[in-house]
This record gives sequence, C-alpha cells and structure tokens, in this order.
Amino acid sequence: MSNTPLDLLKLNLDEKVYVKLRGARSMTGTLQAFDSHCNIVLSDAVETVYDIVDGEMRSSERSSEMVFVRGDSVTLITTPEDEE
Amino acid sequence: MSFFGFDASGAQGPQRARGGRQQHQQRQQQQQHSQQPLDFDDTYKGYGEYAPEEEDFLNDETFGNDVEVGNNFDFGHGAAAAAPAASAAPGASAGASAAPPQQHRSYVAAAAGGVHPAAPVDSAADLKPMESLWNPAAAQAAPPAQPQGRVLSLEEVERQQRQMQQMPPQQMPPQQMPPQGYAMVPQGYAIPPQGYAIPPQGYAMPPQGYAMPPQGYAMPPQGYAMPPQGYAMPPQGYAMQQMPQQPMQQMPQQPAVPQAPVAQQPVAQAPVAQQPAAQPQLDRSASSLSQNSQSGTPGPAPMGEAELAAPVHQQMPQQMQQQQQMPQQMQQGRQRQRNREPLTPEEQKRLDIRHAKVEKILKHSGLMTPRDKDFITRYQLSQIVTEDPYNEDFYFQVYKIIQRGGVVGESNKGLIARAYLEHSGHRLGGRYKRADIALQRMQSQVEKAVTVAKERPLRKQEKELAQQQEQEGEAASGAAADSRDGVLGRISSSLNSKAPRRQLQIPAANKDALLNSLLVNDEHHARASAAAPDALMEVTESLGNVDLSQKSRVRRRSSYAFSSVDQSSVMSRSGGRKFVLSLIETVYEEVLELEANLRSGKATDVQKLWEALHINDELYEVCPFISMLSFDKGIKIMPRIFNFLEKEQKLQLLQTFFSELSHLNIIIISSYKTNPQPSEAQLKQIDVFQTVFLKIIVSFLSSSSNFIEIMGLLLHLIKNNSVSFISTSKIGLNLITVLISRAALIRQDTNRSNMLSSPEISTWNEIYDKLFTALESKIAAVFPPREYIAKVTEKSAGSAAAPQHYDQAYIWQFLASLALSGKLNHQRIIIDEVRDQIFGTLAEAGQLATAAAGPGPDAADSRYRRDKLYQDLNLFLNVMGLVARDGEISELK
Amino acid sequence: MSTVADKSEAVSASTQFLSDIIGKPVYVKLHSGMLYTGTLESIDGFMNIALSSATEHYENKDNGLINTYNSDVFLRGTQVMYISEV
Repeated sequence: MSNTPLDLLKLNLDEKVYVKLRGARSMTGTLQAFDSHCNIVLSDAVETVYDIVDGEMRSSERSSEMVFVRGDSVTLITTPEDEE
Repeated sequence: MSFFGFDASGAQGPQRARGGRQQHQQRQQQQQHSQQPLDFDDTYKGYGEYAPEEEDFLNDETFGNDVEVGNNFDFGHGAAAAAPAASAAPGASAGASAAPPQQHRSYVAAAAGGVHPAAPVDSAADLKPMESLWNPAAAQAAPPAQPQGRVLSLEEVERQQRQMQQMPPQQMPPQQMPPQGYAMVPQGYAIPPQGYAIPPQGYAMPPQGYAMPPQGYAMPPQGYAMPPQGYAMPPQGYAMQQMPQQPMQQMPQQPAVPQAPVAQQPVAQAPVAQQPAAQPQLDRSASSLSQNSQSGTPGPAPMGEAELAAPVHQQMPQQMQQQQQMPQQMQQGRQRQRNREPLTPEEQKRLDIRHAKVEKILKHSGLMTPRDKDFITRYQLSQIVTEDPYNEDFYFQVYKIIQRGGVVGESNKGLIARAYLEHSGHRLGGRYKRADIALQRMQSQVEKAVTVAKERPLRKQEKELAQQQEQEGEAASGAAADSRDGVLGRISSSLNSKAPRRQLQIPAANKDALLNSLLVNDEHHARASAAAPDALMEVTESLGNVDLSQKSRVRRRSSYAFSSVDQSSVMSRSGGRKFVLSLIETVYEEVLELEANLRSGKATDVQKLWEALHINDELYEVCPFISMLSFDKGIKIMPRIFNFLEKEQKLQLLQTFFSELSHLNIIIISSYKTNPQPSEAQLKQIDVFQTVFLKIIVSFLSSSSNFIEIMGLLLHLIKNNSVSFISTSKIGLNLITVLISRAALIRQDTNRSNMLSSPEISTWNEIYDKLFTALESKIAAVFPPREYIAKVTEKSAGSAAAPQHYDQAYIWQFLASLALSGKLNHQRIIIDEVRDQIFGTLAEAGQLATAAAGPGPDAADSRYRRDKLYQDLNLFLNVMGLVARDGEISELK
Repeated sequence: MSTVADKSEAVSASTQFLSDIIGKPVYVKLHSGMLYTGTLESIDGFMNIALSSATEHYENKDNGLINTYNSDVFLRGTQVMYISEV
C-alpha cells in the first residue's frame, strides 16, 4: 500500500496534524500540503511556543489562518491526540 | 489564478496537483514497490546526491538552484513537467493527455513570465504554442489577408498583427487558435469557420452582456449562430469579443496585476472585428480566396505564420505606446479605407462609431488573462443555471461582504479573497456551498408533499383515511389500496372503529390485472408494473425476514451502544484509521484518474473505483466505506464519486450506507444522546455532511430512484439500526425525512405517471408500520433537550452567519412527513406525543409576538423568529388540516 | 577498483540493514537529543522515518517519558542522528 514515510504522511492530507518544530515550538493545523523537504502548509494553525521562566515551563499560543512552515525546522509530524 | 499568486488548487495536495498521467505512473511505481522488497536506492530519487544535510543549509535544494527538486511543491504548476509532455506528444493528444485543465496561471506568473517562451507551458489548453510547426493542417492555413495590391508599412503590418491578435477568435490567425486543432480558415471570410465558438473547456456559450455593467452590450448569444462576416452586422463583433478563448500567448504583455476579478470585465478584449485591412468584400471574397491565401506576399516580406508570430511578440513592449497612437492610426486606417473602396456615408458612420468603441475598449485590452475570463464566464454561467442563485453568485457574495464591511478595507479584503477561493474550487472539489441547500431541497420536498395533501378537500381526506384504516384492518392483504373513489361508494365516517367491517374485497390478482389492462396504453406503466414484481418480491421477502441476519446482528450489538463519541472504536472495527485513510487516498487517485480520462475523452472504467470503495467488504465488522465518511475528505469526494458510479452501484452504496447508519461517525456526533456537547469542529463536520452527502442523497432519490428502491433503503435503515437512536441525531432525522417525504411525494403522484400497484402500497404500509412502531412512544425524543440546544447555539454563535437560535425546522419537517404518510391514528399518536412541544412552540411564539410588538431594536428579529416558528409548526399541523395562528390552533380553511 | 567495490558493498549493507529492520522495534535519536522508540513502519533514503506506537524520551530511555503517540509519527530525515534496533 504505502511504502515511504512521506507516503504515510500523505494520508494526513486534509487532516489535523501536530508538527514539532525546532526551538521548543509546535504547530497544529490542517495539513494542506507538504513536499519532500517537509515544507508544509497548514490551515487554521496554532503555534505553541514553550518557554522556561523561573524554572517553570510556560507556553504561549499564536494562531493563523494559513501558514507555510519551512522544512528545516520540522522535526516530527503526527496526528494530534484528540483526533486519534 | 489566485489572489496569492499561486495556485490554490495546487497547494491543496501536492500529489494531486499533477496530471493524471504522472499519478498513474506514480501508482504503478508504488505497486511495484509493494511487490518487491524495498530497494533504498529507488527511494533516493536523486535527492541524496546533493544533500550534505547540514541542518539549515538546504537552500539550494529547497529553492531549486540548479538542482532537480521535483514538483511536489511546485506552486507555479508543473512547468517542468508540462513542457516535456508538450514536446513529446506533438499530435492532438498532447493537449488531451497532459496536465488537467484546471491548472490555472497565476497573475504573478503571468507578470513575471514576461517573455513568451514561459507562457505556453502553462496548461493543457496552451500546450501547443506553435502548432504550425508540426501541424500541417494549421500550416496550410493562410496568413492574414492584406489589402490587395498595396504595400504596407512596417507600422501597419504591426498594427494589423496586433489587431488580429485581439480579434475575436474566428478571425484569429492560426497560431492563436484553441489547441484542439480546428481546421483554420484563412482571413478570406468566405467559409464560416467551424467550431470557433467552442471554448477550450467545452462549456456553453458565455451569455455575454450578462452582468457586465461598464459596457453593457447586451448582445444576445444568438449572435454566434450567424456567419462571422462581421462587416454587414457590426454588433456581432461585440457579441463575440468576450469569448474566453484568447490564448496564453498574449498574457505576458500585461503590466497590471488585477487585484480582484470582479473589477475586470471581459470587454477588455478589443473586438476590432472591423480590421481595416480585412474589410470583407462579400461579393469579391469567394473569387479572391486564392489570392487571399497568398496575400502575405504583398507585405514587406513573405511570412508564414510561424514567422508572423515572432514580430507579434517582439512588439509587446510597445503595446502601451501604440495604444496611445491609436487615434492617428484609426485615421490612417479610415483614410486607407476610403482610398481603397469608397464607403457610403452610412457605412462610414458605422465605421466611425465602431472605431470609437474600439478605441474606448482598447485601453482595457489585455488586463485579464484568458483564465480570468474563463473564471468570470463560468461564474456568470453558473449563476444562471444554478438552483441556488445567491450562494452561487460570486458577485453577490462579494457584494454582501462589502455591504457588511462598509468599504473595501484591509479587513474584508481577506474575506473577499476567501470568497474567491471558496468559489474557485480546490482539491476537494469544494466549491463553497452553504449547508442549507440540501436542507432547502429536502424542505421543499416536504412542503410540496404537505401542500398536495393540504389541497385535497378535507372531507375527501377523511374519507380516504377511513378507507385506508379499514384496509389496514385487512392486514395488508394486498387489497386495493388505491381504489378509492366510486368503487365503494360512500363510506361511513366512523373514523375510530376498531374493527372495521369488511365491505368489499377484491382479489389482488384481479386487481393487478385490472390495473394492467388500464395501463396497457402507457408503455412506461406497463414496463414499470412488469418490472415491479421481482424487486418487490425482494422487498417483501426481506420484510418478512424480520430477524436480523447474523452479520447485522453482530454489527448491531455494538453499533449504537456508544457511551461517548468514540470514533476510534468504529474505526478500528473497519480496519483502523490508517487503513481507512489510505483507502480514501486510493479513492482520490481513482477519481482523479477517471476525471482525467473523462476530460481526454477516454473510456472511464469505474471498476477500480468501485473496488476501492469497499462497499461490499465483509472482512470488517464495520464497512470501511462507512468509516471513510468519518473524514471530511471522505465526505467531500462523494459527489465526484457519484459522477461516475452506475445507478446500480449508487443504490448499493446507499443501501450499505443506510444499513450501517448507526456506525456513521456523523450520526454519533450529531446525536444529542451520544454527543451531548458537540465541539465547534464537530458542528462544522455536521455541516459539511449536510452540504455534501445529504444533497447527493436527495438528488439521487428525486431524480433516479423509484418507489421500490426508496422502500428498500428505508427497510435497510429500519432493519439494521435502532431507529429511535438515529432519530435523536439531526442528520439521522434528516435522512429519514428525505426517504419518507420522497415516498409520500411519489404516492401522491399516483394519478400521474407513477401509478403504484397494490402490493407496493401494502408493502409500503408495512414498512411504515415498522418505522412507526420503532418510533412510537419515543417521538418526543426527536426534540433535543434544552441543554443541548443551548450548547449548540452557543457554539455556533461564534460564526457570523449562524442563527442565534436553534432551528428546529428539520424536526417539524420530519414530523410532517411522518404524519403525511401515516393514517389518522398515526397522526393522533404523533400529536399526542409531541403535544408539549407544539404548545411550547406556541408559547414561545407568543412571547416573541410580545417582543415584536415592542419598539426595541430586536423587534424585527423577534418578528422574524415568531413567523419562522409558526411556519415550521404549521408545516406539521397543516398535514392534519390544522393551522396555528396568533397563539391558537384552528382548522385549516 | 577495490575501493569502489568496497563502497558499493558498504552502501548495500546499510540499505540492507535499513530494509531488514522494517517492522521491528527501533530507537531513533534526533540531533536535538530526543529519543524515539517505536515500531519502524517505513524509512526512506533521506532517513525520513515513520514509527508506530512511538514513545518520546530525552536522550535516554531511563529518563522520564515525555510523550506517547498513538498514531504514526513521521520523523524528518535531516534531524535523525541514528537509528538502531532495540
């Protein structure tokens, strides 16, 4: 059926995905498109930035309707837990 | 074509952005992969060679500096892929087999492309930029006509060429013709060119002049039917100018990048049908044909059209300047005209008017690409043919946005862009449609049925009911259900008699024979009743078989017993999420391939698609097809699947669908029992389902299914599902409504073409009884509890368009259809059970009436809501001959 | 000549390894230090990796579990430091 990891990623088109980025960031949104460099386009995306302030983990969110994520910073892509 | 300068449809799915051919190859590769052990060298695809993989330093690779980066993310749209296709397939098949035509050229690409060599690679429609190079037919076509015996200056030649370029298609030189390779007619006018009026995409004529305010030449499309000798009939030039057919080659000259297509009008294309050099002398044209075919020679140099094309390109930069020179040129043209052939004053006047118009129009020339014109034409057309003019009307949508937002500011620019994108369609075929369209259709179906019932005289209705009741007492013996008037004479109106006296029984066989003899004249009827028994027997048989089959019992045990929204448990019983997702991908690929075949005129074989749908897959506890509908993308592909399936397959698909309704994710999340607190995303999903799938069902039922099939579907629903559970979900209730209201309509229609046989009627009565029994004592449960309504209202309050109150119309529609098909005792039971809701609605309407009387700003809203409540309630009450008005229920007059 | 042969042998050995471990439980360490354990669903020439039922730890499995992923996890090849069979 599917063989390469990118083929498996293709199954997630038009579905919600969770993308882990470098620099303690993550992004969830609907996967609109991707390529072999892991450049991805997400719609209704929410970016979460984690930060440690006074030894305490904090996170802040930012949302945008459509976002293009450059492949470099992507480390991991999966389905968010509430969608499984 | 897009606001963002890249193709939205391409961005949706990198794999799908490519043509069917590549898809196919890809799939073949995949198949090979699945058969052989994985060879990693294959998966490199050459990427590894230039990937030193040092974190961020992948610029070259990513942005394609001298490396082959593939076209997964090629927003500019497969230029690389299309070009080889064009050169590899010089024949007519080139256009057909390469990229799909919905690939658009973006403004940005058009502006950036600048020079011509970049243009032709854009799409299938433009894949043959210089057809003459390989197409002998085109090469034979003569270069444009020149005035006989006169040597033109270079400037004049250029101007002619430019005018030709802007001319309506029937006068275009060959290299600018649509790529289908129509045999070209030289400029000699004697032969009306064939097929010039067919735009590349093959839709109907643009009824130009429609909704084109600035110029407003409301030319009737009939203009096309006339011969193209425009001279004697000046307006035709205008009639034809708006053909969305101008080839790509002219695009790059445009310096301006339009902001929004609304502002642009197709009239930008100058007609110049009256090209001075080509004034057709009708009487002479036939004899001068041969001359015309050589008429390139009097010019500065002999030119084939391949050469002709070059100067046209070169002059592009001068275009603006030249346009400013137009007046003088016009003068010259007229001068020359006079020199050549004296014109009557009338002709001269017309010519002047024409020139003035041309001049006026010319300054907008070329502002729009052919794609833009295409787009606009499509919208103007769709607006005319649509059943839902407001939602399909792009202009109206934009107008609404502007109205709402006052002026076009930054804020609603985004909205306009969104409206545009929603209209222009993308991977999911998702043209923007509002959810209520399907509902509207359903509603109108119910209303129609109710109206028919209402129109019948009340007495007669009572009489019929009484009669039906009596027949019911005969326990569906197949007695004549449709012999009503006259046969029995007057019937006593003891409506409630428990054991009605058997007044007359006609043996069913005789009755059928009688019916058939009555219908013998009508072929359709004869066929229908001949075909009926088999199918009917099936229905009746399955009716008799009340016990659930082994398979459905297994399924049923766990189907509606969910304590919560548990998509994954359903999913896992149909092969798992990944499996279902991969099925959807396969289905998409199949559909895309079929669509590609359709476009290129090849045969479409739906077998593979059918297999991919796994409709009859018994391997899994829950049919994988049902699980596909758990995903939005699975739902959204359905209309496109339905384009290809045979009727038999559609029916089978719907049977599976109705059989396993309880497993349907959408039922589970739209039932207040299993999902008392729907999330916004879920409400959206419900919306999508109504928009897409319910609509398919409604149109299938109303267009191509007969009574027996509808009964069959209803039976599938009743037998394999808990009706009382399904009726607690909005979607489920709608589905039942669709079936029974359609059946009611057909039954009412008996006096016209659809005469139903008595076995059909009695089978229907049986099925209805089953349905009713399943619902009895739980009818009030179709009304969601207050908390649920509050929750939904609160969630949907966020979106601007959603109503601030819960619309219960669908419930009243259901009750109306249920009552409509039932007999008087059924109707009594229904009224009994929903009495509280009826009076509750009346009370609410009363309160709103008070509010509406007040001066507050909400008065109008209250009035609207009050009217709406009465309207919904009356839909149901009218069936029983009642009407609610001003807080009271009275008999319908 | 022999070096070429050696090289191609080495390449085929590594691809051999990669295709052999498909379907087996593996560790994948990223440059960031994250360690993922799961069943190797698939892997390609870029070292893009798909794992099923993956868990996430920092550096070492003995360090606390950070995350469990129930559906397939895609790991980007450029971020992968190594992959090894459990």
